[in-house]
Amino acid sequence: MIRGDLADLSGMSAWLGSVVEGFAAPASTVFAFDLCANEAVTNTICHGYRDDPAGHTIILQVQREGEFLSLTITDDGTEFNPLEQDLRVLPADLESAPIGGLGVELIRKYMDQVRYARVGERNILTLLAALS
Amino acid sequence: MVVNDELIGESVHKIKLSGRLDVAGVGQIETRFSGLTAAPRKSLIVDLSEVPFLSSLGIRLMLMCAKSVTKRGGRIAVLGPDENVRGVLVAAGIDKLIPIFSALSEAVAAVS
Repeated sequence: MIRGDLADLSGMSAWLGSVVEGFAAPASTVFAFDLCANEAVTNTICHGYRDDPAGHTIILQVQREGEFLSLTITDDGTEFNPLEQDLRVLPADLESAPIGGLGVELIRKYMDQVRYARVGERNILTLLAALS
Repeated sequence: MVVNDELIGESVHKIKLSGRLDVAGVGQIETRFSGLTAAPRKSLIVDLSEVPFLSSLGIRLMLMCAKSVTKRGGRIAVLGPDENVRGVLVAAGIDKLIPIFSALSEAVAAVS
């Protein structure tokens, strides 16, 4: 559980790393969850909490779903689906490379499944990656 | 995060970053990094061998600096990313814009 503050991200990464390792996940999977959690939570804090940055809570849960490891990120901010951001076209050359917006692109590439739901006053983002 | 600036030969500048390039890491170094990749430097190598984590913010920082370097006719290359970091660079398509090398000599040749 972390506050809606970017300063909490390194603590989140450390916690997440030890939990994912606990499921005997390979190093690449540990990295994948670390990266995607950082991208998703950063997006949530930066966009979802624009109107009211104080006093928010983000809850992360990791569990095994069959052959997959799932990371659920629940936050109590305004409705915000990070997956709805336009999929950035990969930069064809430096001149036209867009700055920003890569986070969602990376999440989609690193995770096997991504799901978003708005339930009551909460945004629920679920990321799944195969364990093997 | 630690930033190390080293001159190789007469004109190649190797900037070595150490630590995670996450939100906190980028925040700590972006001013210094932008300064170290600014004019009149034209041959730049970004050494990522001691960077275990790279987020989209880190990529954004490198892309912005690379753009300003090439716009002035300079060259920039990435050196020594580990498997995970290289994976992020490739996933973001950055390897097509900024060459990645594992050997210093190759990186030096590419930016000279």
